Amino acid sequence: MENETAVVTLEDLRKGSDSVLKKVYEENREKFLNFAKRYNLTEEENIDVYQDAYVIFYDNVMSGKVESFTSSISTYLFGIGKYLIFDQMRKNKKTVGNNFDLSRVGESDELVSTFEIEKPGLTTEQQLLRKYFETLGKKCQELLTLFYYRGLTIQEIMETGGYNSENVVKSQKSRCMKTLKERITENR
Amino acid sequence: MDKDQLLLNYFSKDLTPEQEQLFNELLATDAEFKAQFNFEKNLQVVIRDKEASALKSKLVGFEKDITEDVPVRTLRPNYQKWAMAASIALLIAMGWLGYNNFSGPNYGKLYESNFSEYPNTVYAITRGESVESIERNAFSAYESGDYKTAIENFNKIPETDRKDYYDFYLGLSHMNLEQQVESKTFLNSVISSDTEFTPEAHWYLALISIKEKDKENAKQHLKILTSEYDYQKEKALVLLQELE
Repeated sequence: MENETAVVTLEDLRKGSDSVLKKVYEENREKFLNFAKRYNLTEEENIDVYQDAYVIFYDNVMSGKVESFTSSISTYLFGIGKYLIFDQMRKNKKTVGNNFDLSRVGESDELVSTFEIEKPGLTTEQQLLRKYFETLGKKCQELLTLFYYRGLTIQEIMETGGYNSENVVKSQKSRCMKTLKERITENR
Repeated sequence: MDKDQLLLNYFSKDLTPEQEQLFNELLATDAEFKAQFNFEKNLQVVIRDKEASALKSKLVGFEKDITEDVPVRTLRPNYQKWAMAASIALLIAMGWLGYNNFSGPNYGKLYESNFSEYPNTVYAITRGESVESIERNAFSAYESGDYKTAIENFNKIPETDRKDYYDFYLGLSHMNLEQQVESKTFLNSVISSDTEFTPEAHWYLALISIKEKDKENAKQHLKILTSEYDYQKEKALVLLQELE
């Protein structure tokens, strides 16, 4: 285990404060860029890959795929990053021969093997949902994000959001969902 | 337990085994329940997508902070170039006049500016792997630039288990150790067995020939490379021109 895991815990990451996110970004950046240097991408591409790997790593932390750190954060980032780099190299048709088979690289990568790295784009229905989700009031968006993304329970939302009871949270959540459904049906 | 509570527990990852059973039954039999579940699941996907885009913008912002804080970042020393510059300066200082008499392409420079190590593209190294394989050790050493250990491990693999691409990485490992003779043997074997690394082998053999100032051999490999393959085609064409 390397130092940063001792400093930034999974718990800290899940809370996702800007200062923690930035710390993790800065702490692993040089390491990642050094690691990526050996592949023939431009520095700009490497930075882009680093950011995408970070986003994918974080998404998997939030969705509960990472339940505890079995390795340093940088190792996770390398695992994802390597996959993204090969993908980019294949797209650029650079250095790696055209016959290069990506599946051979990914298959034994245990650490990130359960990760969702390549996500399909949003379906038409989901795009619509996203559009109208953004028209909801700030409070609704926050509540739904706390529940569906941050994974907080109703009780935890009550405590952090200063609600009077769990029932208030539940009915507020139901109202938000109802509004969302109505806006979608109205505009269909 | 009511259906709403079941859904709440599902998304809080808090279903008891009995609730989970009930949950699955409802999904299979109750269309309204299923529709509500799909709606919430989609909502979750959408929020994750939105948060991912927001995080990406945040990271772009962090990156901007770093580059703005350290405007000289791009001036980070590139040791290879410095070393080249230093050696060139040294040559001039020593008044190595013979250099002036040397006509034709500058082979050393052509080699330096075109050689870059080939990444491991065949074997993913992961920590925590239960089966310690020799191949893993070989590629692990290769990736960390310990070519001597890489060669030792590649050579340990029994003849019956050898894969096509070992010769290529053996060739590259020797090349990185400046052992041209061994390197050529392995790279030529890649070409004669016509594996997926054949174009790469031509490219690196051309570079070795350049290093050895063997113009004709270099040209021969580059000609095969440019006429039959796409790999490094642009660079190969430029090199061919410089050699002519």
